[in-house]
Amino acid sequence: MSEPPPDTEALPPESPTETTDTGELERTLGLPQALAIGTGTMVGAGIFVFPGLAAGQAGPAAMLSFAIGAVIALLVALPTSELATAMPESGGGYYFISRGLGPLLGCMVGVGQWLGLVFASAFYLMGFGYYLADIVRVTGLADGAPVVAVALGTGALLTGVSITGTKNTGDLQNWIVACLLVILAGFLGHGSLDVLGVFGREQVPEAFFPYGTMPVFTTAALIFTSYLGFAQIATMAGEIKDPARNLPLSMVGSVVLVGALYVLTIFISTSLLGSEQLAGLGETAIVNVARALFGTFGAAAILTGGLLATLSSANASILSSSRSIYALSRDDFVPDQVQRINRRFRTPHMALLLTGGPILALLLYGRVEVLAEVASLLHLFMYGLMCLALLVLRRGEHDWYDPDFECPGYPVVPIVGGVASFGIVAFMNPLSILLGVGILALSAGWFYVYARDVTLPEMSS
Amino acid sequence: MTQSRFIPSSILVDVELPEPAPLSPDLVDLLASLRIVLVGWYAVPEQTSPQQARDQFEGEAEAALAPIAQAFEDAGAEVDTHLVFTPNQFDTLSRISTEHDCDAVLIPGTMKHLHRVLVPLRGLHNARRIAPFVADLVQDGTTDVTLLHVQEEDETDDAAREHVLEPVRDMMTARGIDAGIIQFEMVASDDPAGTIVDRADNYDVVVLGETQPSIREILFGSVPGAIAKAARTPVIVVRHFDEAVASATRATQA
Repeated sequence: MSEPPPDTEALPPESPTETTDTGELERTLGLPQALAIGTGTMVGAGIFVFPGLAAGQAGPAAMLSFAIGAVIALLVALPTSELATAMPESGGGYYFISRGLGPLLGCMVGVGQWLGLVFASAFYLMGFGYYLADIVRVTGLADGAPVVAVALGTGALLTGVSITGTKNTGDLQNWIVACLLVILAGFLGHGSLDVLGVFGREQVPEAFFPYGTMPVFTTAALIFTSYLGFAQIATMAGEIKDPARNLPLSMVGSVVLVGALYVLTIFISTSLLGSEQLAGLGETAIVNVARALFGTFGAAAILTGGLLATLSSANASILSSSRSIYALSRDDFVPDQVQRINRRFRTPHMALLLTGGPILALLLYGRVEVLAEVASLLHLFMYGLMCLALLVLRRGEHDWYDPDFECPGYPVVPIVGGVASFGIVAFMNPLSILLGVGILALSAGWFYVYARDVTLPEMSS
Repeated sequence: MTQSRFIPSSILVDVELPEPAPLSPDLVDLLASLRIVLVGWYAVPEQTSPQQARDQFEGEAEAALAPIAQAFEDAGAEVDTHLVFTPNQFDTLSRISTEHDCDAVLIPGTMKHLHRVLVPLRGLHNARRIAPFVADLVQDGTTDVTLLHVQEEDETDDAAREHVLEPVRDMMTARGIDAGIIQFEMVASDDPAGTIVDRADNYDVVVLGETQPSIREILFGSVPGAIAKAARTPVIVVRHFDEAVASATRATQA
């Protein structure tokens, strides 16, 4: 009765030539490309959208807000680098957390990563809309353009192009980033000398903390969106050459680079125009700073830069978001259909539509600060958990966990990084917190309804 | 087997998946005496994770690549097959040709039969690589080989014969080739590429050396590409001797 059916034992052992992973995956991104992905995703927000808003809230002390953001980002980038070199797979934070902390948190982070990038893209597209409207106004074509309509059209166009485009824009992205860095180097270099009195200019005298110290932290929470790009490098970890070296270098390098640019930008802007005037100029305040420094030529250069930067940030975020959906689908947290690749264009059209659609919906809502903060909150949730995952994985002493890069300052760095990531959320606007936490709660609900039986594949060394 | 005295030269043959352009059976037979490094590449746009493309298309890509590998094996070649999902096929081909130290790269063309091989030479600098390769290619002795020397301005026929053509012939005979199948031809021209293209029409396959180290240059642009396009003859590009070293150095520096 309990005897196994006779043919079970007679089955031949699995043929040794039968392998499931015979197709090789080419790693094509070197260090410059990885740096360009990180920098290109980040630089759009911090320089071209936030200076006016941040200075309006915190005055010259907004410099500190950006510095706080950079320190938190660095404290997270180091643990992320270790995790990414141990698991150089597509999916980034989602992958590390689902393997380190289990499927529930993994699913929440995966959904958070997808929607976080959706919010971030919407935010960048609003920035793009403000820049285009400004250009239309400056060139005298019209009184201005409806920002939301421009953002909607551009969002739809980007989604369409990413589904149907067969020409790779990777090189273009590198050129855009290089162009931006040249524009910014000229602008910030000359601006610093000018502000320091080398050319005899008078500064706008102002207290460092005109609104007190509390706004420094609320502003840090607001502008944290400016540091969301480095983790996108980890989502492409499977495509980066020599990941042991290039992942840590590009993540830490891009944060240090943009952090320095941001602090310098605020320093120059507040010294030249003063916080009150900057606040009144809103999202495109930096254009007026450039005009004060270089006249019309400077304004034109920065307007162009702003268009390029916000567009490349939005594009990078859309592509990254679609990879998050793929990672979720690969592990069966969402239906298999969403990871299907279109045969004609060879692009993941469902995943791209699932990113582009919600972006357009958010644009109709259109409040820049809330979009930015929800994007940050969803990412910060992931950042905090990545730090936790590092602690758990190191203590677990798994055979398969063998990172090429080890996070320096362990365990202090991941502990402080994790606490700071969760802590900064407390300084956000209550509506943003409500929306962000609501999304995470819904994704937990999704897990219990759809995916509670999911078992993740065993890790192998 | 005469070939067992040597490790045969290797050639990189690449096909685009999932719908590879057909390789003519005679071309397959021609290459059968060599080690074939067969690379099937599946182009993945940057919007798509290569892993995601592999999940979905690996089966059909394998199915498309297998008959090609089989054809080479049936013809008697040693085949090393690679299936790669790549955002950039040049990176892939360059990496694999370096990793496997490929002696040559094939630019396919139409070929009906193999009677005449054209081997243009410019000086001796790459001959140490070309001569053994051609020798391996024509091991069965039924093919005529024309060594064509395009002369520089003040070079005499005698000098060309003595310094280029004869040493190359000797290298080939040392590898077991009958000197009777080898002919010499010398021509003076300001336009070596044009001269080779003009002559390629009368031959079944062209084997030439390439000093440009990058695979992108070999497959697109440069003399070999122009010849393949103009003559529609298959072209085998023998890679520069130092390339493997150069690429490896670049890889460690990058």
